[in-house]
Amino acid sequence: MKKVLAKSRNAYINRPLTLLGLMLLTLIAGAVMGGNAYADDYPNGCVSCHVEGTGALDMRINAVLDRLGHGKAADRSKVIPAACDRCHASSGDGPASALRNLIHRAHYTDPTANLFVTQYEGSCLHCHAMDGASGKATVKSGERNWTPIVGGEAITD
Amino acid sequence: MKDRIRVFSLSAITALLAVTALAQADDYPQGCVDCHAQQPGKTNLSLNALLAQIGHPKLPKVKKVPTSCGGCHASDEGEDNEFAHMIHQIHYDVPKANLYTTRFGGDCLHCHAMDADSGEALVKSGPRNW
Repeated sequence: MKKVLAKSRNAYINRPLTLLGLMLLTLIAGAVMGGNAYADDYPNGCVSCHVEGTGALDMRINAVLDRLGHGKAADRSKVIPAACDRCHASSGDGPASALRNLIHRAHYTDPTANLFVTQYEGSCLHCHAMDGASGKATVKSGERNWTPIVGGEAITD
Repeated sequence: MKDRIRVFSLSAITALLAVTALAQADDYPQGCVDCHAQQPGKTNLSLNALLAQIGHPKLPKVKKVPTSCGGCHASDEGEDNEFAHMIHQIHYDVPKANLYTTRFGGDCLHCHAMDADSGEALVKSGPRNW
């Protein structure tokens, strides 16, 4: 029995070519993973983090705003946060205060307790993108991840 | 024995809070000049040295960096010469090779500060170090 096991090990593990292959595979996997370290985990900004979750508090924007008593207008916003500009204009000239300052405050006030910082390792680049070639910092955006209900009917487009 | 446990617990909590406070401290409160400094035995990375290398005119009027740079470099949106874009380019172009991101762990908050009360993102500044 021992001889069979020894032979088996020799056949599959001790072959130099097999080991070399495994080492190469490891190096390739490392290179691929290293390349992905620059991948953006939150390409759509708000809606990449603010999701329904499983068995947890619904953190989608519409649910959060509902809990805060925000009007239903947010339900009709298709692209987040671009559509929020309808009321929360960046210029500050809209009917509601500029979104930028509100969002910064929501994510950075009391950084020792704020979940964005303490639990989610919040960084500017979760919400902003940097185009290194042009040097322009932009705000990421993405389509809403909820289905608005208007007059009891789901709006799907 | 209970007193000892209380004292030990209080000490441990205090130490943890101190460590947390240190972790939250800003290592670059003055922005540019906190990183761009001349250190003994190392390449001179101060801004006047770097700018001299690329043929930039001398900077006799610059007292506060980068505030004084605004004397020539407009920061208005839409300007081709917008200073913000240029500084972003220098620090973020080709992130896999850019020393700011690869060696110095470059982060927006090295140069910017967040005023959480007002929600304004600011540009840090400090007196020139040359």
